[in-house]
Formats: sequence, C-alpha cells, structure tokens
Amino acid sequence: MLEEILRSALTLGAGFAVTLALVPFISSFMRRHGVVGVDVHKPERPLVPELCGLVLVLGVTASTLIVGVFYSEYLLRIVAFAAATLIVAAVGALDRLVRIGPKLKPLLTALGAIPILLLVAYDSHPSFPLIGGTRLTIIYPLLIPVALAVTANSVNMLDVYNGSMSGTCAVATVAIITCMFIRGSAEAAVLAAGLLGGLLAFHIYNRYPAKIFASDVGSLYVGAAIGVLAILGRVEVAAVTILMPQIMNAFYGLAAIGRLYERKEISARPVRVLPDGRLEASRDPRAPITLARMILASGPMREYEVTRHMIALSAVSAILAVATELLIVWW
Amino acid sequence: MRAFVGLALVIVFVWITMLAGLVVIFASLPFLISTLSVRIGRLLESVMVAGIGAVMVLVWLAIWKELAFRYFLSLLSRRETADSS
Repeated sequence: MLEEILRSALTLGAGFAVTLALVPFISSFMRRHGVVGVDVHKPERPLVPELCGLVLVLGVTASTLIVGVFYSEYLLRIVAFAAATLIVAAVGALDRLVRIGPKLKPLLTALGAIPILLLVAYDSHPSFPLIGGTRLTIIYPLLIPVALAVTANSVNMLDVYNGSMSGTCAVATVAIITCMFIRGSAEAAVLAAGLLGGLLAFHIYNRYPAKIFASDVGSLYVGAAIGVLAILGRVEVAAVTILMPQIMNAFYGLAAIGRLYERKEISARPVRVLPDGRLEASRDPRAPITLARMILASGPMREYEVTRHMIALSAVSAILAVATELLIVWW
Repeated sequence: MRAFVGLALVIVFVWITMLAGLVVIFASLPFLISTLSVRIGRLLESVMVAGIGAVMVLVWLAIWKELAFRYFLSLLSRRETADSS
C-alpha cells in the first residue's frame, strides 16, 4: 500500500511538473498566433489564450509513461487509457479548427471507446452498492461509448467560468483515487494521480482571473480521462456520483433547451455581467437553466464565488462517491 | 448559501434515488430473467432488461429535472418579490 502511495505521489509530481513547465510556452505560442478567446464574464472582456488544454494532454500523457514503467503487466490498459483520451483530445482540437457542431461532437467523442473495446480493457462484471457483483457481458461494452460521450461532454459544458473545470475535476479526481484505493485498483489510482497533478498545475493558471483557457481539447480530454479511469479502476457507480454537478449542469441545459446546443448559438445567455463585475442569473425564460444560473438565483456573486460553489458541490458529490464505494466493499 | 444548500440536497436526493433505483432494477432481474428467458431467448431478454432499465432512468431524470427546476423558479420568484418590495 505504501509503495502504491509513493508511486501515486511520483506520478502526481510528474503530471504537475510537466504541465506547469509547459504552460508559459503554450500560452505565449497561442497568444502570438492569435488563438485567443474573450473572457465574457468580466466587464473589460480581456483576451485569454485558448487551446491551452494541450498542456494537460501532454502533462498527463507524460505521467502515463511513468505508470507504464511501474506496471509493465498493466501495459495494455495504460495504452488503452492513452489512446482513448488522445482520440477525444483530437476531437476537441478538430472542433476548434472546423466547428464540428453540437450533434456530431458527442458521437465523435464516443470513438474514444474504440481502444478500450479493441484491447478489452474493461471488466463486464461491475459491482453495485447494496447489490454486489453483477454480470453485464452484453450491455457493459455497449455502454462504454455512451459513458465516454457523457463524461467528456458534461465536463466540457461546465468549463465556462475561470477555474470551474479544473477545480471541480481536481476534486473529482481526488475522490476517484480514494475510491480506487478502497476497491484495490492501485494501478488505476496511480494512473489517476497523473491526471490530478496535471489538473492542479493547470488550475494555478486557469483560476480567477484566468490566464489560460483549456478549450474543448482540454475539457473533453479531462472528461474522457475520468470516464476511462472509472472503467479501468472498476469504480463506475462512484464515478457517476462524483460527476453529478457536471451531469446536472449538462442535463439541465439540455432539458431547458430541448436539444443538444453550443454555447455560442444561444441568444439568451443564462448569466449576465453587472457593471460592478458581479454575475447575475438571467430572468429571460428562453435562457438555459445551468448550474451557474441556479447558484446565482439567490443573488448576484463574483465569478470566483460561483466557481467556489461549484467546487463545494463537487466536494459533496465526492463524499457521496466515497460512501458509495464503501457500501460496495462492505456489502 | 441558500442556493448551495438546495443544490447539495438535490445531489443527495439524486444519489439516494439512484441507489434505490439500482436495487429495484437488480432485485427484479432474477424474476425477469427466469420468466423472459424461457419465452424470448437470451438476446431479446437482454434488450428487454436494458429497455426497462432505460425507462426507469428516464423517469428518474424527469423527477430530478422537475425537482431542480421548481426549486430554481421558486428562488428566482422569491428574489423578484424581494427586489420589487
């Protein structure tokens, strides 16, 4: 156990160091080449380098290589993780270049399931709380593409406020690592530690006031990574619980609009910026009901306060996820 | 703070109903399998069980959405009343 914790610390350190070291280069490269986006939740609307989620992809992939050195017998699953997440990151990069559209994007992110299915990097006998082990040999492989599309796009849809994606996903990853250790999936926990390291380094630059944006390449990658880790570490039910704020946000938006949508195509924004910089929930009935709009329903707040609320909700989900895993193990 | 507590309660409610739903689905599986397998075969049985599971999830999502939206609208109207007075 101590050895696994030390390996996790090393992988976390590698993910953190590589991501942190790459941020200045990638962000200045993006700014130089005009790859910038408007930070719409500030009155002065500053331009911030986009596509910087690329540093997360590189940082986490570097830490994955280290895990490969530790667990050579686990190599097939490590390759499946790297290939699946890189496919989804490529979809995110492609979306920046050619605008894939809200309907095709979930389908393309589901392609990340191909390496997992081809390498059979899954166990179709998941365990459920209060029920125990089950046998889902037909349904489980069919659910993998759906799971990847849901996790990737849910995380992507919460990447709206400074630090919201990196902060909530860092909390989610801490919980997923804890659940993996409870379950005894130490190899997957060491793999997840690399993602946590990358997210923590990224959060330093992405928190309020953001100096970099992850864009789809980063947020889809992180969402897919959490989905793949849940499958490899056999903590599927806990992962659903962990991602409840993200899934809530995506589902409320979809339910309110009635179809898949891109942020840019919505004329009635869910939140408006007051002259003093605070955010207020829109009272327009056409605006999508998002998690941020719900948080702001009780009164205007600063952007970082909205992010803190989201991170606190992630912490609530994280506690419930650990309780879920304990119910599975103790039952 | 009020919105946070409300949303946290929604998450707890969703978690409890998710666990209850899983128990209901898997508790009914042995009954479904024993009765359906004889009549319609393994593949159709899997499709049927997945269908029943999907319908249950949809009902669960509808309840979840209704609960959250009603809570949101009540918060918003409470604020509008406070602003106008």
